[in-house]
Amino acid sequence: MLNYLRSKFPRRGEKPKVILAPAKDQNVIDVLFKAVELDICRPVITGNRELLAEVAQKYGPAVSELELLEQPGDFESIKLAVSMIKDNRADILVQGDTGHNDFLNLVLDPEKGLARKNSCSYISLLMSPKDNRFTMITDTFIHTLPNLQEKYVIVENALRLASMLKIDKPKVAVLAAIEKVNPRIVSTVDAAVLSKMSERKQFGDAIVEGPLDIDCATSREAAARKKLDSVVPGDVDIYVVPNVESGYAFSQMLAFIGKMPHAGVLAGTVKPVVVNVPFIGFEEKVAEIILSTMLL
Amino acid sequence: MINDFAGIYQLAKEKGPGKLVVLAPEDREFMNAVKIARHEGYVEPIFIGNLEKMQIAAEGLDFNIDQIKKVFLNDPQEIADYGIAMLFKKETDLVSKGQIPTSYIYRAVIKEEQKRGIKNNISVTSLLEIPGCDHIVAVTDVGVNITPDYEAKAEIIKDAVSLMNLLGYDFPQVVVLSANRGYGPTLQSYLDAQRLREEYGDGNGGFEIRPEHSVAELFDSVKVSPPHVFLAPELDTGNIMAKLNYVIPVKRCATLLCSAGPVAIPSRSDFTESIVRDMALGAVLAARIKEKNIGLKI
Repeated sequence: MLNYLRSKFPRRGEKPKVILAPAKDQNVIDVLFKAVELDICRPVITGNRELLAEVAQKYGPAVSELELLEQPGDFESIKLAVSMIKDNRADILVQGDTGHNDFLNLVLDPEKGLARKNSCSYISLLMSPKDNRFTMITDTFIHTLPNLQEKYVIVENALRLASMLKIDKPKVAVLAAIEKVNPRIVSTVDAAVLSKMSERKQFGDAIVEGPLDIDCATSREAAARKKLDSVVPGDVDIYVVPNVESGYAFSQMLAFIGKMPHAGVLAGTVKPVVVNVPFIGFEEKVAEIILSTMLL
Repeated sequence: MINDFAGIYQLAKEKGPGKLVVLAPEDREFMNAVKIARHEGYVEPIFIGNLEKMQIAAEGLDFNIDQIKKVFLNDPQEIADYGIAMLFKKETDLVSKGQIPTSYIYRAVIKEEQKRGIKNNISVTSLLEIPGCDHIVAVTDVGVNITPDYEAKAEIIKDAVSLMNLLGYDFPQVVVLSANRGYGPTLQSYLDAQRLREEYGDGNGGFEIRPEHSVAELFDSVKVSPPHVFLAPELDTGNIMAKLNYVIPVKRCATLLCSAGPVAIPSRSDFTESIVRDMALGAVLAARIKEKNIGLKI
């Protein structure tokens, strides 16, 4: 995924400043400096004195544009990073080794943070090793059980990423337990509404289809067996899941059993934020920084 | 212990044919599956459904269904009720869904279970054959319980464990899945997982609850092996996990193991190969129930 992104989407313009907060975990620090080595960005590190000294010793000689900002605590580090981004002194925020609640509650705060109200969602991005095709699954982190309005935002955010990745006329499957609209099952009704909005071109060129159960979404033949006539089944770019439980399991099944390289993108912030989600490989974490530069 | 689906086919052949009632084999893929399962010696079918539709489904398949015993019914609920009642009366070893919505079958099974006061809850378990994994992996519940509570989850685990026991897994390891990710409020699935681990942690239920909660934890490391059973937090998750065979190289089959025996639960979108597998699994489970004499006492 990393090499593909680098070759397909070379950096344009000035190298952005990426601020890591708080810098504690060596793996995330190494990821950032790998991105620096690949000429993707300039590093800004916040953390305590001891750690900054270690970073300076290890990377200082080779990295001329290294900026080190001392902050004793995690919360102070994140706060400083957010304020720097808001003041345009840095461009991209990367989460270091800190709890998601601490980090995201501050980052997603509509007043103090980097997000507008209800604007964010998380997209798992998987790549087929066979043909390098991207598949997105969303929302796999932020919304536990999104309502229709939130699903609308989730679709819009995914479509923005699809456009960045130059996916032409993206096909979106809105998943539900069954492929028929059942007024008692909210996910089927939400999916039908989104599908109708798509029919009226409210999502531009994208084709949003739903409700689709997973077998209909993933196979045109299976959909045909259920008498479903649509161009989306078997050719999906974006899966919108009904809840985080299913999104979590779905993306991990594809990543770990399907062995598809995978990364994640937090979408909808005013400036890019890279969330430190576990189980993402080293190269894919570097790829996440490239993806974040594309969001600028 | 049956490690893969080849083992299921082999045993189905050895132990078969089991007497199979097919509920509405009114579709070509289902009819073809019955033909093959019969030819392989897994099952000896009885059909319940609409004669004309069954005849049309069999057309061109080189399958003479005149010799097959049939019960003629049209209403899907009547079809399900009749077939499931046969299972509970021991007039058949197993049942398979044909081209009728599953809800009719669930209703029929629950009615029979409640009549006898045996089970309050039923569930559908999918079995996956995953490349590189040295055993079959069960995912449950993939069919019945939309948002199971703690008590229902305990019942669902026990159903899957009974199924795995019949396949030779004496002390299955169970992973209770949760998307608890350290952001937002603690999920109910995580609280249920903790409670299940406390309740059954010492193995007193005949199974082990493992500490992991995600697929990633189990397939990311060579040091950790996948469990025998995944308990899904809710139905959407179970359904998605069980039906990824079109996008990742897994094979699957599914069954509802009620107290009277197995009911094969193919999806309406399944093709012949997968439906045959469901029937073979049902035949194996029915044979094992007979051998162990653990079926319903009537």
